[in-house]
Amino acid sequence: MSVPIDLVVNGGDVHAEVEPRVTLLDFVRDELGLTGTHAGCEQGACGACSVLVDGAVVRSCLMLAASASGSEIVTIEAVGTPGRLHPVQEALWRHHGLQCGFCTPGVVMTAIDLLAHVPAPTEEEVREALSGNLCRCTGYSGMVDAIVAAGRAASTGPPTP
Amino acid sequence: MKPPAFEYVGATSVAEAVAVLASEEDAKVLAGGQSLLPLLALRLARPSRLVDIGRLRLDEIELGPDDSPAAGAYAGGAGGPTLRLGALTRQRRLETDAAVGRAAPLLREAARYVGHPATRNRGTLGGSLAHADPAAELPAVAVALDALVVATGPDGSRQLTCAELVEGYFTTTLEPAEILTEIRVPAAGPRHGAAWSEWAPRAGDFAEVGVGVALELDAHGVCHWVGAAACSVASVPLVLGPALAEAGVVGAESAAPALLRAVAQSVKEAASAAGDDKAELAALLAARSVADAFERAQRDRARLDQAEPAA
Repeated sequence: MSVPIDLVVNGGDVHAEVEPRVTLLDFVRDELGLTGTHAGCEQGACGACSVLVDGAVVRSCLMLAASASGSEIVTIEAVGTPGRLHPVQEALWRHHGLQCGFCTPGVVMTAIDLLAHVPAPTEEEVREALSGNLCRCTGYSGMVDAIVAAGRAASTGPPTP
Repeated sequence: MKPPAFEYVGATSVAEAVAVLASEEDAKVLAGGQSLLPLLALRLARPSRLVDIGRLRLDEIELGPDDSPAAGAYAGGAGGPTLRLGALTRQRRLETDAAVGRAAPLLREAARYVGHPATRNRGTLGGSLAHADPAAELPAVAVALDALVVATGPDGSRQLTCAELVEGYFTTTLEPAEILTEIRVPAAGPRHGAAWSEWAPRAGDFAEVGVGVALELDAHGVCHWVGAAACSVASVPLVLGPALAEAGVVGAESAAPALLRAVAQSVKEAASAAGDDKAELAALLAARSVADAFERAQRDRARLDQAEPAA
């Protein structure tokens, strides 16, 4: 059985036929080649696969591609460019908020969602928001500093993807 | 791992979803998927067909008059307003919606403890109740607030209390072809205070124990109603309202140390079947929630007195 889906990914229309059991994570990685979204635990524990669905951060391993039909998806590929980083990416870079980088795409998406709701979050709010993103390099301090700083900087211009 | 193979129906109406569930024994409902997808990935669930109800418009929140015959136990009493929440209301919205904050502050506070922002953006209120995880916050809140749920099946809709809904570990009294469509929470009255306290090893983990308390004061500042429940101490939410009332919360004007000791003692006894560690933790968290709820109710009273000075 396959299911027809229509969705918008990073601003482009996508029409596809998917097997029902294919998650949004596997769809963007394997069908669309958008491998910036990382497959970590594949059971909703690590947050590495976080993407934006209709503007809200979601774990793409916990959503079927079939359920995403009709939605607008933003993956890390559409956030910033190498020459012009997104403010969250810039802040992570400046504050040493990444080491191996595996969890980073999910962290960036989580931070974008947080800053959309809480423009200038406190350290406590950042830690709470990041509680669902596991970093095996134990690099949380830099991440927290970065997102707090990105929030402060955003008072002069809101970060949007 | 990857989910096993299944057939998929993107339901366009409740009736269609119910019909599919009625015709196929191993068909299951997919709402927000934040519990079902991990179960599929771990291959602990192997449904033949998933009925995706995620596109149904079951996410309206409205504060309306009470027409539910079973209501009335709550502070507002029979005829008080009811907060109606569509079963597909996202957990994240419980945190941010102003009507929820006013009419069910316990629901708003507890929602912040459910998983993480990314799971709350997909996870639904109805899904959490229908999943009936004994460690979940929202079923305990629903029980504490005497909430009602509407179940829709092949023979129409019926209303039941949340206590009647949740039967045991991951087990509800919903019929196989029934879908939970609405949650009705008696709205908070004046001088209402509520608090959720829980302990988990890390933020977002399942609670070791969580305790929610809501209470209301009369015009003289005396508590006349308390509702409470705990998650993660029994196979179903542990009802604590009557025990707290008996321990002296009803009739009290503030959370004096003697009252909190009595609260802790009664909760420890009520939770004793869960073992000493959990019972002690539940007692501590209950005392903390009672103290916070009193403080918030008193603040609400002061606010009302300021707005409408006694003649």
